Amino acid sequence: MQTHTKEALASLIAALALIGVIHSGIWFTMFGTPDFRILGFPFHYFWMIAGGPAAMFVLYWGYYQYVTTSIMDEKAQLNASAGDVSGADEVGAEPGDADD
Amino acid sequence: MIRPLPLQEMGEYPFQETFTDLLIPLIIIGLTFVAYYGISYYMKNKIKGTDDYMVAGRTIGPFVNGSAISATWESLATFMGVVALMVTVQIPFLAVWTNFLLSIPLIVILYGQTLRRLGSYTPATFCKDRYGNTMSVVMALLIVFVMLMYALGQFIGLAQIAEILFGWDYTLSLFVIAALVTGYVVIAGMWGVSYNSALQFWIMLTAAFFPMMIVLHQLGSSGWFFPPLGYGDLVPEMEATNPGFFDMTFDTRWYFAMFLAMALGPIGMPHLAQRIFTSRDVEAGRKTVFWFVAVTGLMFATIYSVAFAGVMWLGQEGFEVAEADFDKMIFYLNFAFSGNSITGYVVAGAIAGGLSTVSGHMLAISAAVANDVIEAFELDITEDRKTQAGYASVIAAGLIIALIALNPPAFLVVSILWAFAVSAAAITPVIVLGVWSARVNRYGAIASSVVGFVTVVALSPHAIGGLGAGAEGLTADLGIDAIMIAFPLSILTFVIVSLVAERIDALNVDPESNRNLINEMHGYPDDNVDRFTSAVPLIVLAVLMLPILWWGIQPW
Repeated sequence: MQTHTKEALASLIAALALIGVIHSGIWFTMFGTPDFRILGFPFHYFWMIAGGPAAMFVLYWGYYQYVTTSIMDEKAQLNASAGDVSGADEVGAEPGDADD
Repeated sequence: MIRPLPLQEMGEYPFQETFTDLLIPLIIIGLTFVAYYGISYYMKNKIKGTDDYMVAGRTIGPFVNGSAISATWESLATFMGVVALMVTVQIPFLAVWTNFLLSIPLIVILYGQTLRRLGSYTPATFCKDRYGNTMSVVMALLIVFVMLMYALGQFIGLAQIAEILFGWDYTLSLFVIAALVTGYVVIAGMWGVSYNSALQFWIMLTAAFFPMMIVLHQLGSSGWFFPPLGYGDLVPEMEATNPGFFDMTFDTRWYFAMFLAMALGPIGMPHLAQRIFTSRDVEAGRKTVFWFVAVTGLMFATIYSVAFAGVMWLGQEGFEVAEADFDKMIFYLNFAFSGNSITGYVVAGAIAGGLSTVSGHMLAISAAVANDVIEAFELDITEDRKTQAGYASVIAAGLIIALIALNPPAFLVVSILWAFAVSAAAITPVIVLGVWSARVNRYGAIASSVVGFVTVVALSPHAIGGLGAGAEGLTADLGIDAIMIAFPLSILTFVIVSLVAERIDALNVDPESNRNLINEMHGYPDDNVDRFTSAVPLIVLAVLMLPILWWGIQPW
């Protein structure tokens, strides 16, 4: 699979996963609210105030690791192999001063 | 659900409603303003050009940016509106508010890092590069409209706080607030605003967190030392006094519509995106999300405890409050449990929330006018002149917002959240699809923005009225019934017009003309390889919009 396809899929999956964990209102109205408690709170309330944001943090960490290691490495290799033609054409706005 | 009293006059409640001694609260609030101006004054020497004024020279690290984004994002509403809506709407509003947590991670994943790499100032800068001058002007106008709607509510709220606090009339309060905010934004632009917003976040968090420890302790919670999660032992009492507090209340479509408006809307908000553009590099932009989620999650959980404690306190004491006064619940609670001095710090926290958000709005308006409009019309001016135009547009924005706030049109103040529906339908699709597909073009983008904007405005009960999308009450007020129609229509228009335009020779659409830009913004080499050129994802997306549109037009 080409790098840009992997990048697009990783972004799509990460976005959908984050939306899935945080938008629990959809799930709770579709499937009902579980009948157990965490720290004294009904599960659905706990999920909204703490569980969802914590799950979001972990999911984003997975995305971050994948992009900063795998995808960025592949991009660096592509840029290195195309070094002779890279930057030949200036397009759009001035690029930022730094990049990763 | 709480049963509100009719409108009350000051002093009619059986509890303290305002300060009985202003000296210490005024000293606390005054000190925070000294800090804000001190930071701006210290930072002003760093302003050398447009990059410094609009995006802080692209030097901001993840911790400062995460805190600053959180403050910009939370606004005065976190202290006042959120507590009020939690008290009245209860759990469903919590489900709405958690949507907002999605916005920054989605901005970074979907376009923040690519536009940061490209060196954009605002989404309109990107539109100029990607779609051309006409779309850039359309986007700049949308940015100004949405930011004005949003900032207006903040100015009115801040003026009302000053009105209550000092007893000044509304007009005087409004212009004093406008002058104070404009002052520190003008002095140091995004440099000062970034570091001020970061400080403002920590003032907000401490102003909510520590006073709530006192409140929860006195309400009898054993976990009072950690307000975000420490009040679980009060739940049985809440269920006894307010049996419906934990009910989901609405149906699935309501929550889905909330996702469209409240998660996809903020993605298009330029004052949030602009913060990612200030990151010192793309990697720092990505890391910002960790700090944002951590500190914002902590802040939200603390604010939910305020609403919970407010409802419980009213129930325990048998007090009733007029609906218009639910906004002040956090102050009433602190007056009751902590007295004047600590409530003074809570008010300083609320003011910090308003200042951080409105300063972001003013800089977004400034960047749209002083950079994007000037570039779109290809005016030949020097870098110094452009920076001066930035200063002038911040002052003009402050003045215009204050003047509108004097006698605001009803549709502009009914709901700040309504602006999110406009953003979700008219701004977000154009930016996100422009980043991820080389097949969308300026014809599709312009048509999509116009259709999205017009649909939200036409179906809203606030602007024209009489048409409507079928819902009433909160659902219609928040514009969420309109978004169920406007968003899918906007995407369908974007995809269909873009693909049809490709086939009309006279329109000269060439997807390959975007090749260099697409490669550059994603960090690929300029190696003449076409990337993101398949039309299949666009067609799949368009097809997915059809059931949403059908769902949206069903009677509510």
